Amino acid sequence: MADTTQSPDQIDIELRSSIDRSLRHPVMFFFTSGAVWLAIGVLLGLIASAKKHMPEFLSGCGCFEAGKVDAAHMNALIYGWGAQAAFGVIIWLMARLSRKECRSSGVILLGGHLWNLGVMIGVGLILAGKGSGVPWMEFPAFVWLLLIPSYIMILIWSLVQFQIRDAGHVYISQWYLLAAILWFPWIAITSVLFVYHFEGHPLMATAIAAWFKSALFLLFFLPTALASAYYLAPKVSGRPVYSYSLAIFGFWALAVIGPWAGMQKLAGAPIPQFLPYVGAAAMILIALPAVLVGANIINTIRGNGEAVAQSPSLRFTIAGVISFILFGVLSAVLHTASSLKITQFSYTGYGLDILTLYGVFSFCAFGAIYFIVPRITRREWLSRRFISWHFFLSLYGISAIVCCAIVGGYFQGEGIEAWNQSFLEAASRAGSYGWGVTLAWFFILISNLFFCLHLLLMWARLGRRSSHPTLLKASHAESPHGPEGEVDNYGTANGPAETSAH
Amino acid sequence: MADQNSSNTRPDLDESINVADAHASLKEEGNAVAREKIIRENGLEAIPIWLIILCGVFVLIGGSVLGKGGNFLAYKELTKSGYLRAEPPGGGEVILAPIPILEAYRKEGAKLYSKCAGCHQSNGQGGNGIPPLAGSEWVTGNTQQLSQIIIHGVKGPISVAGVAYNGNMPAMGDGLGKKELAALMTFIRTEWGNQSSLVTVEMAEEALKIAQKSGPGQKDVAELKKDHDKMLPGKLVPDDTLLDPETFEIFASETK
Repeated sequence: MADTTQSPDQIDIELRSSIDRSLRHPVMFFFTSGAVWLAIGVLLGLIASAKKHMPEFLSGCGCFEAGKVDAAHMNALIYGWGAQAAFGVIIWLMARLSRKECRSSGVILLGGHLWNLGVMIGVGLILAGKGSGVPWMEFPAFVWLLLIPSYIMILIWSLVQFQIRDAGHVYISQWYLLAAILWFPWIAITSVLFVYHFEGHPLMATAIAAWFKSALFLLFFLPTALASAYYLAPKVSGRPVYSYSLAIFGFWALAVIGPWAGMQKLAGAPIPQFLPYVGAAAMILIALPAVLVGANIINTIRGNGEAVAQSPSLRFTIAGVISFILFGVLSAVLHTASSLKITQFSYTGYGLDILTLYGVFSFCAFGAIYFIVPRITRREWLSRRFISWHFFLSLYGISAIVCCAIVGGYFQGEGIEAWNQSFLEAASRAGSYGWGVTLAWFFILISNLFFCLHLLLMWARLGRRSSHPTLLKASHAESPHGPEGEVDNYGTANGPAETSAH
Repeated sequence: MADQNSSNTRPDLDESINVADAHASLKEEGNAVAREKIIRENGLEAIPIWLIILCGVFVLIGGSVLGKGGNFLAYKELTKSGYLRAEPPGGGEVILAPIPILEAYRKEGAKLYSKCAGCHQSNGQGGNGIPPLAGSEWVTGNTQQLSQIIIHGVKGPISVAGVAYNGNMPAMGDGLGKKELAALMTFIRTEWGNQSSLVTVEMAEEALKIAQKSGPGQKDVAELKKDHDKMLPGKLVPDDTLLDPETFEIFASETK
């Protein structure tokens, strides 16, 4: 493939900046409030994890009981951070790729506030003991009446933009964005109706809730993360996506396999016997989209190691893509018939959940945020060190959680299977790994305090005014970005031979 | 150009720079926007063969799991045979892990004591005319009189730990089987600093027989002293003897 990039012409630049300007308020709102929820969610995660091996920790306060704080932790992470980061990425990417300005940022902003209100009420009621107890849907049922309309208020405009775009090619990221936008209401409305409103068999509600949990990741967070990765990898490296057919294959693999997963959590329960096995098979087959998408994106940036080392967006995105490959492989190993019963009731499931939410989705979302925010605030990130601390502490944290939870969970599961041991003994096998998880959450908490602070400074328009991106390494002679510097050497960076990678 | 730059100390407001000119370009269009590259989606590399083989491996693993799940869309088949926990080696029923006798009795006794805690308090100190259990010679002393007090109740003047009481304790024997009685007596004899011997299920069974023989009605101190001032018959076992936490049966010595 020849070099297919070209210097952007003036009309293009103006169109892009007008799109960015039209979306600056809602996107910054979603990112900043998401970052605050992330810090809260991680803090609650630290407490929840500590309570697993030190039950007396904070036991003076009723709202920090293990069951409440665990549920609040996951829900703050999913709906406070995850969903809002996804909204910001989706509305910005869809506008950019459809090349349409947003004309309804006021409604989006209102929807965003309603969503925040819903999450706040939900998390508050969980801590007050009013949670519903359905995994990942612990918000009391009525909160969904706030969340679903505000979701529509936020994302309907992206569908409109896609519909009225100038005729032309639909880019890979747009497939994933459309899929995420349309799949979320499907899984959320189905699950809310079957779990809370229809008078079905309670076991069916349990099975639907298990399906919701995996569908929310596989059919909403994952497509959003992949849309951002498919956008950023070619954008920053300046190379076309490696293989179009691989992209089609990867997308449809996810679309066909994703909806079947979830009920493997109920293996052994008296639901129709084939359902858990279909779920387990689907979780194994998730390795397909993982290796297909992973190979495609990594081949796209191959030979461009310098850009990965320098660009915060690309570095976070690639870490997210590698996490996705790791998730696919681990999922294939941990859901075979022989390991299913060992991992079903142990820490392992938590490790996989955190790998998906933090390792895959959040890393890709961080990558997108580091790319988008300088464009909509028209300021550069303040500190290279903040970004690299954020990256490394997050990376160590997520690696430690995955190692501890999966290895510890495996031993714990073996202990539960051993018929002549007490349950306590099986649980205590995971105790020291629990310490590891707590320590890892501590790392992630520190990293996200840096991220949150940095983002809030950008939101306050205190970013650097410069023509040069904040890169993670001092540039050297080979750099495609031209010399790093401040406004004084603006002229040299704009030369045609030195189009920046970022 | 970059080498010289790496040693620079941010010279952005140097005298040689015309700040207005330098910033002019920053005003209107976003710079980050201006330096972006255009995405061209024309990668048409072939799918590598190793990737197809790898996918084939995952499909095989997935298919084997699917094959174990029985008939697809068979909504009537509920439990997969062989999924439930295997029988212990040597066959027989699945038994729970054995725990020491003292621990098992005290755990059960602590649950039952909630009924007594209304008067004797959860710390065993009594109060308001109710005698304490902690440090009481009636509790830590001979087991037969303790068992009769619990089963039949006691009335009239009674001296506990050097203090005179004149109370009226109703009969508490309803619903107490030999297992419960043994657990409750063991609990109060070993809690709050009391350090007496445990009461086995066999001893408690004797206590129930004695109680039946002496007939209903609250006891008084004179009767207790006359008829029941002795230990219950039965063999005392060491505190760490292992037993089944469900049935309270003592394990045979070879299974210890």
